[in-house]
Amino acid sequence: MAKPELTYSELAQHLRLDQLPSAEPPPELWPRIAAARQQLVRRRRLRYGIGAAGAAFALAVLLAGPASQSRPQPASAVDWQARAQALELQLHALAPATGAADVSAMQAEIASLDRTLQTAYDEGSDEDRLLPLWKKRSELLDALLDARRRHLQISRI
Amino acid sequence: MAMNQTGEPGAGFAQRVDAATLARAQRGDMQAFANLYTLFGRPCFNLALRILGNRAQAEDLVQEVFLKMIGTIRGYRGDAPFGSWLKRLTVNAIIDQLRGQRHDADIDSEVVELPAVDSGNTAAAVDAWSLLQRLPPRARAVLLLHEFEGYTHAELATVFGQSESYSKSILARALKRLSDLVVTNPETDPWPSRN
Repeated sequence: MAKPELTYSELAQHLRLDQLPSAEPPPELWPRIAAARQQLVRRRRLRYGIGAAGAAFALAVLLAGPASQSRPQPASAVDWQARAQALELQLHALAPATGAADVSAMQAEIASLDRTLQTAYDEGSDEDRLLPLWKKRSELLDALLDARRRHLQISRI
Repeated sequence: MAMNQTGEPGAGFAQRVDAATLARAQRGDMQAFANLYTLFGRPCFNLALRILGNRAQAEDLVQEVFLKMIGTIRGYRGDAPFGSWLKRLTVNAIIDQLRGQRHDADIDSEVVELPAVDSGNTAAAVDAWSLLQRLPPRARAVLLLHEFEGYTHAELATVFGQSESYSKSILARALKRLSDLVVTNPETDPWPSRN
């Protein structure tokens, strides 16, 4: 015997499709979304900060030219963030590190400093806290760059 | 024949948002976003849950939709009600998710056990939710969007990136499958496996 086929309205009536259960989203969903948004904003801010600082540093170098080298600057006037960014670029231009102990130690120190910086940004710290961290990062990158160049020379010899 | 999701005016995605909340949200005020979530989190979650059939996926989708809404609300010009705009974001995110699923899974996944059915009183015993979960997610999406959310076949064709006949065919097969399940033979499968 052929099966009877239900029309949509019969089907809807049978299944009570207009009374499908409605579920409540879990209470922790909005806090999760808000936290994800905050994280996104922080990451963008950090990325924007680094990019803008790099651009500012490049502009400053272009405008000041060689004259800036003869004129000593007060420590507070140095854009440590931009300087760190420029040094980072120089480091990337070098061949990959060979794994020397001093290089590894400095890389670990920079990684640790990056975590501190991230925390500082996460906590919305002001310039007084951020500036010394960027200065320290810049100095470490300087030292790392020197060490990497030294190792490169030794390996060439 | 399309039904409203809840049958109530001004419920679900049809709720109105006051201009002040919208303006604050467009300025990036998190409290305004929280208010919008209070209004629309539930309909968004339910639409996702009904189609995807999985709580964790539905939660992730709500998160994705609200993050996208927060990121793009400045571009919302008020041409359509806010709820309709958000529903479109939700539907698009759901369809994107379905597109990412494997075809095999699409056809065979999530066969949920039917509740015990008293053959003498099928209408009272059959659980609509469980039956819907026996449809492949795409079929559920077409059925729910067409019959509950009022999407036309032309609109479904656009969101699925397919022809209208695709959505008509999916809907017809979904209804046939449901009908088969309800009438007598839950084993009937109008969705032959693809090789």
